[in-house]
Amino acid sequence: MLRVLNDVNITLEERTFTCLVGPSGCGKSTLLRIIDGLMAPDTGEVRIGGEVVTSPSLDRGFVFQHFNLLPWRTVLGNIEFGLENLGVKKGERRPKATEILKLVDLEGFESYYPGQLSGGMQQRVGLARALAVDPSLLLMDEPFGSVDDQTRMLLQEELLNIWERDQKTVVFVTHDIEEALYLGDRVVVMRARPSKVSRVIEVPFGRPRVDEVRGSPELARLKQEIWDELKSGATVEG
Amino acid sequence: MNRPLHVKMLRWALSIGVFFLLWEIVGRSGKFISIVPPTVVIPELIEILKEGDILVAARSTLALAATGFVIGAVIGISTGAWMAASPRVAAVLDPIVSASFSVPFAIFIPVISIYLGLEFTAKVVLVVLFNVFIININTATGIREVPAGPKEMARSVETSRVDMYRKVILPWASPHIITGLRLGVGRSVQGAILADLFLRAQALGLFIVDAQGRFDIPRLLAAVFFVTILAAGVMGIARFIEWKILAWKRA
Amino acid sequence: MADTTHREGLATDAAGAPAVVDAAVADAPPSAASRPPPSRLKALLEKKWFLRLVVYGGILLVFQIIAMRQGPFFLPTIPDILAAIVELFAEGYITVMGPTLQQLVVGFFLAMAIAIPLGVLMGRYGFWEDVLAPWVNTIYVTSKESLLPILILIFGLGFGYRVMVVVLFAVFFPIINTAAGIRYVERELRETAEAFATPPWRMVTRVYLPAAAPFIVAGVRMGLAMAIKGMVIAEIWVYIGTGELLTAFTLSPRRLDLYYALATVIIVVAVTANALLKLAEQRLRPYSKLQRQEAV
Repeated sequence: MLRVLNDVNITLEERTFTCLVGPSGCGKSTLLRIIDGLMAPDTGEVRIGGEVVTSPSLDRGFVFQHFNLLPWRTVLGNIEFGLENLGVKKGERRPKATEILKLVDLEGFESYYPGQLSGGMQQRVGLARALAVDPSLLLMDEPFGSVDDQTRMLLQEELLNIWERDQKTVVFVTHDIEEALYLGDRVVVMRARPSKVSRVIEVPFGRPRVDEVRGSPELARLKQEIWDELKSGATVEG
Repeated sequence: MNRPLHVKMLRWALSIGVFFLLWEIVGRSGKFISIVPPTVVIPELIEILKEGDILVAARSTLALAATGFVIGAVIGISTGAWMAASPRVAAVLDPIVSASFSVPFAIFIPVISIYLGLEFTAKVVLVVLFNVFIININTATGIREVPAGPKEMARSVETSRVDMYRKVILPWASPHIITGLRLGVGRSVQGAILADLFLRAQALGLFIVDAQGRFDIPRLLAAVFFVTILAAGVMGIARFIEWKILAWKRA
Repeated sequence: MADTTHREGLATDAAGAPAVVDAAVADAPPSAASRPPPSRLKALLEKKWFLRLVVYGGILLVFQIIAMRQGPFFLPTIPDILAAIVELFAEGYITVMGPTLQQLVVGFFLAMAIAIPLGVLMGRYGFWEDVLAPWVNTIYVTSKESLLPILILIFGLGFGYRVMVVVLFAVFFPIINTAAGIRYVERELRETAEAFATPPWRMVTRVYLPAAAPFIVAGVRMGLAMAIKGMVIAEIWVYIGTGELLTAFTLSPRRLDLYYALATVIIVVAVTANALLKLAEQRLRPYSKLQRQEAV
């Protein structure tokens, strides 16, 4: 039996953007799913607002690395998927979905099918779908991991723009240290073998984030620190 | 190794043409009494088509095939879905499905007539035996191969079990299921012809047996030729319908 | 959030922390936090052999009960059938399977001798694929049973007829599977082998044969299943051989116990042959998922 996670003990604040960073196999995706209720832990629990999480909820939105769009539904049809479960009537779903579509900058693509969209556009649909039900917690599992570099940077900026608007609580999983530092208020660094949280770093950059942060020496230094942390973990455990 | 379509069609025409030529030559030579040349068979075919009896017979056999197909589709899809959803049901039914391929069902023909008679019911059962397994296997495979991602996504938005099937699993599996149905059409037609020949000669089967009994060889060959074209035609239509339905996949 | 301090270690935020993720130890696959160990019965219900035993045992039980109530004219009891199997051998009925199996084997090998070379041609050369495709498709589409009267006309009622029916039924799957296998080699491996200047003989033995073998064996296995089907149908149609025996047992005098016995023997032979070939196929089993996907 594989022990995926060990000894994780963290607390997250509302309306903050927290990034989970770690190498593959450190259990960060598993942790995210446990937070959402998609998976159940063997011991321990997740509490949100005082209540224990036992199963997925429409109050928590999840964005997947491989988009998981339904290929036979149009863009609007995909966005409406969560709204259907919310019990929103057909007449009200369409305008709501169209509104969110504008938010992710996909106006004009209402009737397109996922097969006709690029990776970046598909992920925007995924994001729109998660946002459409207006969850208070947004969980994102390496959402930009399947797109190319330039698209990724654009999507990061768009995500921050959207986030600035109503500042939901976000937990963002990534293996890209720079991305974590650029996006987050805090970065939780996780290690593999054994999987655990090794450090939590408060990100010093102001909001709204400016492009210059990307190339700043401060970011480079933090990145190096995190990288050292991860590397040292790897060699010690062997 | 990709040839343009017109080259392929030329070769098909060549192949078919050579066959008919050889058939004509062998038929004319009189070496085999039973091989009648196409120049006799084809006019005979036109004759019997004009007579109309064979068309009535075809309708009857096809009706049998259609009935068996619908019943087999319902049983096949529901059991296939059940097997895909429940590993226990699959454990119990798997041996039957695997055996269905190697067991010659014809051995049951003598005994079907004892328990079910020789009429419509027995024949429908035979047709269903022919088509149900292929539909079942394709349905089960289609559902099992629905990737975990979309299902996880649906779970994350509190999708009910019923909705999970309705909105995610069945649509995703539908190409596989439809292919299974298409294959089931072909099997149903073959089963119906078998039933109308073996269980009790009726409709198209009777036509053939009748011609055989009369030693009317041109009529026999024409009838068999017709049956072949009919089966090919029905299966071709099924393929076309499948192609149309699955158009969204190619979008 | 202009705070520039870093906090080490595990952070616990004292100020109104709504979300807590506590010591989550997740084993894959994850399960509920605490579950009582399953009872023995429940564990058994998960085992395949147990489920099958219960269900099939139940069916046999129902069979037996109906047989006992309705009498042998309707359904023989299981002990009756078992006794009948012995009788098949003791009274020599079973010898009728001799010629049947003999001609099955002849027809089967003849079919393979035709099908495999044709499959190789079709897989290797586009020309042959185009030329033979109409016929291969026709065989697939025709109701082979409707061809029986014609075969009887040409070959009579004996050896030739039975062999030809078997050939007709058996030839389809080996052709297309062999062709698929050869096509696979052509597509994936030939160029590489040529780049290493492989001599033609080695190409056949070291490249084509091992790579296409799983496909060919799969086709042969399916061909055998079809051959058996063809043989049974051929015999039932004209009341000869084993088919005749099967039918005769259901007429007068009706001996359903012998019928079920013979049917069981046939099923056992067919399933065993199929299982043996499947074993052979798995030995040569595709080393890659791709090969498995190619085979029909």
